[in-house]
Amino acid sequence: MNSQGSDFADEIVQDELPAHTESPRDAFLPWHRPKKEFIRRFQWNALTARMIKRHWKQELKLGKSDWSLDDDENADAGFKLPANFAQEHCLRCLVIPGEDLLDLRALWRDIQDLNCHICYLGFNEGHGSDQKGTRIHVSNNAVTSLPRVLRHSRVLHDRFEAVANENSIALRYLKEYGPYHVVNLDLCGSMFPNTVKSTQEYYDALLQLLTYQFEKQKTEWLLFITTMIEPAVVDANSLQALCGPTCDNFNKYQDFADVINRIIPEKTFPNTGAPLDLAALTEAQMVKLFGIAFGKWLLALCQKAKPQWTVAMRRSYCHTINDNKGAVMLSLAFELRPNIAPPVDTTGMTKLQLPAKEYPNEQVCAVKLAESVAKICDVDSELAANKKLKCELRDAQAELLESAGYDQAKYKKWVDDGEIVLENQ
Amino acid sequence: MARITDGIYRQPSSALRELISNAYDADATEVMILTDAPRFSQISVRDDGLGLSPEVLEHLVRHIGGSLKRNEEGKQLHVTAKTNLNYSPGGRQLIGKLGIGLFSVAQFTRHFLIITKTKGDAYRTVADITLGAVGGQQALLKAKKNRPPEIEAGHARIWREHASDRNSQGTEIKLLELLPRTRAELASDDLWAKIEFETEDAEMEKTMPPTWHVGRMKPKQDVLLQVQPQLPWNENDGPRTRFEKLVKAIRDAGETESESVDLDTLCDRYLQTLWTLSLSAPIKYVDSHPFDLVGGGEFLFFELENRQRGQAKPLNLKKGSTLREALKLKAPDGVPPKSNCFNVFVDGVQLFRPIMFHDLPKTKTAVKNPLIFVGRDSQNFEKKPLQLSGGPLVFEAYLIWAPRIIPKQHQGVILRFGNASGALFDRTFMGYQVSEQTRTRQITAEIFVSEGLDGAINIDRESFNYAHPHYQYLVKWLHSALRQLANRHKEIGKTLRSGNLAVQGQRVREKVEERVETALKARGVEDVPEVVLVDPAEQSGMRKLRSEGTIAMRKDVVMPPSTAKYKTSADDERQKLAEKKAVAVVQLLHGWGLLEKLSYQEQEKLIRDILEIVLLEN
Repeated sequence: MNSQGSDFADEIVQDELPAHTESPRDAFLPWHRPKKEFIRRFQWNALTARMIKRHWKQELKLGKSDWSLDDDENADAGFKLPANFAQEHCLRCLVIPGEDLLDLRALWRDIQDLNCHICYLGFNEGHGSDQKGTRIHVSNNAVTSLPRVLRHSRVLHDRFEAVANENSIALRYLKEYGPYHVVNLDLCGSMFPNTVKSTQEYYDALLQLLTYQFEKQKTEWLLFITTMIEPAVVDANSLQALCGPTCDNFNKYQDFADVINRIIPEKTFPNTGAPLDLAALTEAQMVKLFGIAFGKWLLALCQKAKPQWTVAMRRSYCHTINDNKGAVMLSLAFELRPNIAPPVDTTGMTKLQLPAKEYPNEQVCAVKLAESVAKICDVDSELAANKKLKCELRDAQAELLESAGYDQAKYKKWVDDGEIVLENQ
Repeated sequence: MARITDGIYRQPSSALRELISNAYDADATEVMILTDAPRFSQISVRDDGLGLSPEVLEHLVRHIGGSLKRNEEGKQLHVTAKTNLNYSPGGRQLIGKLGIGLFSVAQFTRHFLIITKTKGDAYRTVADITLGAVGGQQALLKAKKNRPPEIEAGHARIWREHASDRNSQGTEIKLLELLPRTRAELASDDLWAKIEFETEDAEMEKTMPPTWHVGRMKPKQDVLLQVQPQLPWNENDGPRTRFEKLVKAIRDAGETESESVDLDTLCDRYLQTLWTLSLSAPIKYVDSHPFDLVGGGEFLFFELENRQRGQAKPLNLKKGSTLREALKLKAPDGVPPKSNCFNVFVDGVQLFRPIMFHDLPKTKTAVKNPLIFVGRDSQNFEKKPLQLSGGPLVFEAYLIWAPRIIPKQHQGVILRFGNASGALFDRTFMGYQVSEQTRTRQITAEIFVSEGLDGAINIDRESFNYAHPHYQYLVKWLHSALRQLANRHKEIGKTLRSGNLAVQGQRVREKVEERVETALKARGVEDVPEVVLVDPAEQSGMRKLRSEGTIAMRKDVVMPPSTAKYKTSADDERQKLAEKKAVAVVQLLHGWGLLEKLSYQEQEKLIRDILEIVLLEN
């Protein structure tokens, strides 16, 4: 009797030999470009800092002494944070970082003056034992060694999309580290309905995340969605479905339709219930249509939740990533706020005059959302018009990359030479 | 190296324990272990210790299995204190061996990273290590021209990387690609497979899943869980609360599950690993150190004598004063409290030594208070050659007797060297031969060795060289301590049992009195006559008693003789009750007027005959 075809060996021997690592230090990638630094600095980190100052100060115990490092024997080193420091007093972030954790390094850099503690959970499916995995391990060690970063912050070896499944280990850890103040989904794939790859699992995962956040997060939180838009491969049927809530409002509310008509041709929305007319849309209009449709889809979900949530789009940006293909990277920012109001006595039994709290209704939110989409800023144009800013961003990005082990001088030269990314990188 | 370690380390907790020891020796204040349980694809062990310089790391990688500790080379490379090779630079008694920690790692993975940084260094140093093939030895031999063949033990690549966090320090060991066997062990695969197998057969007796577990992945995939975790804590609980809830869950099982609480059935391997690590690591107790127990509580304290035929002396601790103060005890290891701060976290759970000394389980037996026996010894082996004695041996210890030890894995003795231990509780009490089946199941003991014993610890750090004089000395000391405990326990039990009998006997005798009173009252007799059974020595005074109206009878004539072979407390009580019954019979007969016509002698004879029947036993 032979054992050919049996699976006994699976439990005993691994499939492959361990890989050896070499560390790249001068291979620059699309997300090393200054325009990505623009997004990090002016959208993600600026909005996060704004929220810390405006809304989370008390929750994060900023300015209070009960969590100060003063009592810590290593306070002089300034790096140490006890591991039992309550996670609830940290800025909790859910991220999809690259192998150098540049987004997290930049976040720390831009909010460190606020003395805010950070705890993060990242998803990166490439997080194995190969070269890329080694980079992530070393980067995670470096970031969690920074002052006020919780050391049990980690990058999980899973795809974010896996959280869609109720039984996934990814969802289990998402719950362990949450709920989150900042959810930054800088996706490798696309949420834009297209004919190349299904977007289903992203939407499923997002819904699972929202369900969890709505249940557990008690204060405002930020949702950043960065997705590629490829108008050339649009899946019209899926986009039609995504646009459903937008069409409803378009037909119901004139003020909403008026704002939409300023950015998208009126005939795109036939009032007969016929499919959207996408043919006449330029690439820029397609980007904006997706921005409105996605925002309105999110708003509809928030309004159907109990308690309801208010959604406001914050400063959002787009930039090109591949001129030949006409692909655009869209970075959307949303602030979500729970509509929690005190009880109101209408019987006159109580003499207390508590201030009533009112929240904008769906119609108002939708109009504001459309107005925000109209203001989506083109990062390419900004940088083309502001060479000084681009230079500043290049230098800042160079420093950031150096902290991840890259060569500063080579990076600056790479930017000055036109940011050419080799195909095999 | 991977082959050499085969068979030395049996459980994943061994490797983790060694890495924790290394962190302690590096003066870390904190170790953080992160797994992705229940998948267990990788494990990270990270500390905030002194870190390794590139020179030390290179030396370590080249000499895995060796150690820089306790030798001159270690002093030069700042791995040990400048003045004492047995201490860390920060003054801790060394408990591990640097190379041994990595040695143990090789049993569980063939690929690991070491990321380390010393304070003030502008770089962190990274070593990526892959161990050699497992195949036939011939394949390992690399023949070079004009040189004998060499064995390729593995590959290591070491590099330096810019660090913006100049002030940080510490070492992280990342175990990648855990061997399938290790993953299966941590994930309790055999247990779940057994449960599944039994489920398929309707007639087979079913094994219950562990009460507490970390969940299970679907077989042969890494994304989905087949069984959701069942943990005694919830997501919002802090690290300390999580561990406290785990300990509480185990203790509560003693009330709800069964008399004997077994970790094997309550917890999966992962939680058992946490428990094992918490017993072995040099960390704080979950409530307080046993030497910090105070007088005035539920404990009875005793001081052990360092003699083979010693007698433990009761210690009268004043209310509020501690054992430590009373006996000037120094354990855990006598280093200043500041440098002794050492915390271990595993997946968000802070570990504490899970031995509790408060609210111990209650029992129906006579001795209800826990007993604690404390001792210490300092043996210099004077006049004995150092080469033969192994040098001085200094230790402190306690033995606790409690009605039940929960969980049962805590029954026995644990030897701590520098407040850490590689071995778990030894249920044989180092080969105690006296048949004390019940009592030895009621004892937990810890011996804290502050000097010596290191040479008696085997390479696996989990077992001892039994022939070593230090081990032999501890065996003698412990067995003497056990005898002292047993003697005291027996003595206390005897006293308490006789006391209990006396109370119970008194209660029955009072009932007899009440019954007589009630019966005579019903007869219309209000005054119950006084009856005295007079001992032979006092019978000359009987006439006087009778003249005073007392009914006096000769005890030796009235009472049937005792049939007991030995005079015990119980016999005493039995005799007292018989006498009470005799008095009661006399009182009743007198109340009914049945004794009046009989002579004193006839009265005594009648009572004797009645008692012979009343007290007749099988």
